[in-house]
Amino acid sequence: MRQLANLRILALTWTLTWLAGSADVLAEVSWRLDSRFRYGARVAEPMGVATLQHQASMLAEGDLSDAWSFQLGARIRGDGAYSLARHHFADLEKQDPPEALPREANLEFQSGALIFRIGSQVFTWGEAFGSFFADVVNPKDFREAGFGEIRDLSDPVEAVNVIYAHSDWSLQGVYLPFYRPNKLPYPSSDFFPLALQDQFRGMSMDFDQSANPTNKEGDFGVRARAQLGAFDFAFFGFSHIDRRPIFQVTPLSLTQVRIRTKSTRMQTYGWTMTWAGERFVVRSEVLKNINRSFNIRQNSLLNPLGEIEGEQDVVVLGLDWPWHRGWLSGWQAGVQGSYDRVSVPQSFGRRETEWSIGAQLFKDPDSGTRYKFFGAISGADGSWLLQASALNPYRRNFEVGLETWLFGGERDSQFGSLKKSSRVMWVIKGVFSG
Amino acid sequence: MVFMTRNLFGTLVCLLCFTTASNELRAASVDPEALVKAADDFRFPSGDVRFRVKVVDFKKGKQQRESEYRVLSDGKGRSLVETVKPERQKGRKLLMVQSELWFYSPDIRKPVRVSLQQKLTGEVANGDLANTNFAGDYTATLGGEDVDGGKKLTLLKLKAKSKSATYAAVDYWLDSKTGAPVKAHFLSTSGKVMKRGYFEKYGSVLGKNRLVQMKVEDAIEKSRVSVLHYSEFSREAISSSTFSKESIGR
Repeated sequence: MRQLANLRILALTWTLTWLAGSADVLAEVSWRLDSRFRYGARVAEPMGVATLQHQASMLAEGDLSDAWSFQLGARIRGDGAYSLARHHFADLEKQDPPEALPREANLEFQSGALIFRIGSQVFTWGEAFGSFFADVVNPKDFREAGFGEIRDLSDPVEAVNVIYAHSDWSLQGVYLPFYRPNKLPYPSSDFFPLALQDQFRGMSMDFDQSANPTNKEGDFGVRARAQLGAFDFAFFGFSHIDRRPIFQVTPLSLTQVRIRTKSTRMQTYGWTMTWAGERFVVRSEVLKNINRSFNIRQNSLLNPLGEIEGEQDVVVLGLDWPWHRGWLSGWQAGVQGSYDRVSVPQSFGRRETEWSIGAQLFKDPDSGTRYKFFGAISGADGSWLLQASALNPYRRNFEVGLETWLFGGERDSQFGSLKKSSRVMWVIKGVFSG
Repeated sequence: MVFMTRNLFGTLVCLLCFTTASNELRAASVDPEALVKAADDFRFPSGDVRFRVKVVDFKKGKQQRESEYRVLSDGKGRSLVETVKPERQKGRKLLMVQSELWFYSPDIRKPVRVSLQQKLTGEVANGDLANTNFAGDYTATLGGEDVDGGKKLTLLKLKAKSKSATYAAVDYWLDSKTGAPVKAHFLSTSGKVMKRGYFEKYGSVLGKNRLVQMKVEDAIEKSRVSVLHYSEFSREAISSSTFSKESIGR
C-alpha cells in the first residue's frame, strides 16, 4: 500500500513536470517548477540503498495590481528507499511518509519604499554559506541534517513582515503568530543523532515531534541594515520559541522509551557584515543566543538526558574570491561557544566550544557543467565532511550528474557520527517555467 | 603636453566637422561629456525604464547558446537584471546599486554579495547588460576623427571615474553627423582591448531612434561573438524599494 503511495507521488511528480513543460498551463503568472530525482547508494557499512528521493516544487508569482503581488508555492516529496530497503529504515515509511505541502503563500503590497508582506514566507538575514546561524526566523528541514539543497532547507512561516527599504538602508519588523519547529531526522533514519541511538540501542523509541508550545506572545523581531561605502551592516534582535527543540526522555517500559521534543522561548541578537572589494568579499555573522535550552548527558538510567538553560555565542567569518578560469572559491571559519552556569558537557557530551573551518569551490558557467565542492573540518574533534557535485546540462530543461556526501572521524564526533550516511547519488534535475 | 596638443587638435577637428552636423550634435559638440550624454540617449531612454535583452553567442560562426534577460534601470546607476532564459537559470538576478552587487539565485534563495569583478563575468559582462549610461561612469575627452566605411566618426576617450565602472576605459566612436554610437573598444586597466562592440542596428524605441542590436566581439578570441537584441522597452515608475536587497528575492 505504502509502495503504491510512493509510486503515486513519483508518477505525480513527473506528470506535473511533463505537463508544465509541454503546456502553457499558467499563462498569466510567472511560475517555476523544480523537480529532482536522487538515487543514492551508501558507501559505508551497512551498504545498500541510501535514498530514492523524488521531489517537485512549484512557485508561482504574479501581480494583482501595480502595488499588490502574490506568491504561491507547494512541494511534493517522497522517498522510495524506505520501502525498498527495509533493513535500513525500519519505520521510516510510517514516520516520514510521502508529503504534499503548501509552502509560500503570501500577499505583498509595495509602494515607494514601503513593503508589506503577509502570509507564509522565507526570511534571509544571514550572510554565511552553509550555516544558518543568522537565519533565525524560519524553521529548517534537518531530516538530512542540513546537507540537502539550500533552497529546500528553510520552511516558509506565516508572518507579518513590514520593510521600509531604500537601496542603501532598510528597517524591518516581523511578527509570527505561530510556533513552527525544525523538522528533525527520525529515529531509524541515517541522520538521527547517534548519541540518542547509542543511548537507547535495542529499545523501541516512540519519537514525538508534535510538541507545540503555546505561543501567546508570538515571535517578533526587528532588523536594520545600512550600506556604508563598501560595507553592508545589519543588526537584528528576535524573540522567539527555539526552532531547535531539545529532547525529553520518558521510559515507558524496560524496552520502550518515549522521546518528546520541547522548545522554550529565547532571544537572539546579532549583526551581519559584508565588505566587497574589486576581487574579494568578506562575510561575517556575530550572534548571541540568550536563554537557550540545551540537553546534557546525566548519570541516570531513568532519565539520561537532562536539560539546562544557557547562552551561546557564534562568530562566523568568511572570505570569497574568484579563483581561476571561472572558478569561485570561498573560505569560512566559524566558532560556536555555549556557556552556562554550571560546567557540564553539552549537546550529548560534545565540547562547550566548537569551531570548524569550511571551504567551498564552485564553477557555475552560463553553459556547461556545474561543479561544486564543499568541505569542512571540525576543530573540536577533527571530524570532516566533503560534499561534491557535477551536474551537466541535458537538453533545455534538465541537468544530470553525480553528487556525493562523505563524512569521517571518530564515532562520537560531529561529522564522524554521520559516517554511515556517506553516499554517492545519481541526480536528475528538471526546471520548467513560464 | 602631447596629451594637451592631441586634445586641442581633437577639439578643433570636432568643431570643424560639427559645422555640418545636426542641431542636436552641434549643441553638444563643445563638450565631450555632453556628446556622451547624447550618445547614451541613443543607447537607452533616460530615467526609469524596463526592457529585454536577448543575447545570442556564436563561436566560429556557429550559434552556441541563447539567453534572455529582463532589465530594470533607473538610469542613475541602479539596475536589476533578471535571467529569463535558459530555463535552468530562470529567476537568477543581479542587483547593481552603483558599485555594489548582489546576486540572487532560486537555488540558494538568498541575496549574496559579490565582488566587483562579477561585473565582468558571463559571456557578455553583467555590467554590459545593466549599465545603461556611460555618462555617469566615465569622464570623456575628444580623441580625434576617424573614417569607417565612408562614415566620419568622432572618437571619444572615456576613462572610468571609479573602480565601479565595468571597464577601466572605453574608446568610443560616434557618428560625427548624428552623434549615434557606432563602435567601442572596451579596455582593461593595462590599456589592453578586452572586447570590441559594434552598435549595429537602430530602430524606433519610445519615440526616438535608438539602439536595438549590438555585437560584442572578444578581442583575444575573435571567433567568440555575442549579438545583443534589445526589445520591449517601456517606461514605468519604479519604486525605490525595487533596487533594495530586501526585494531581490521577489
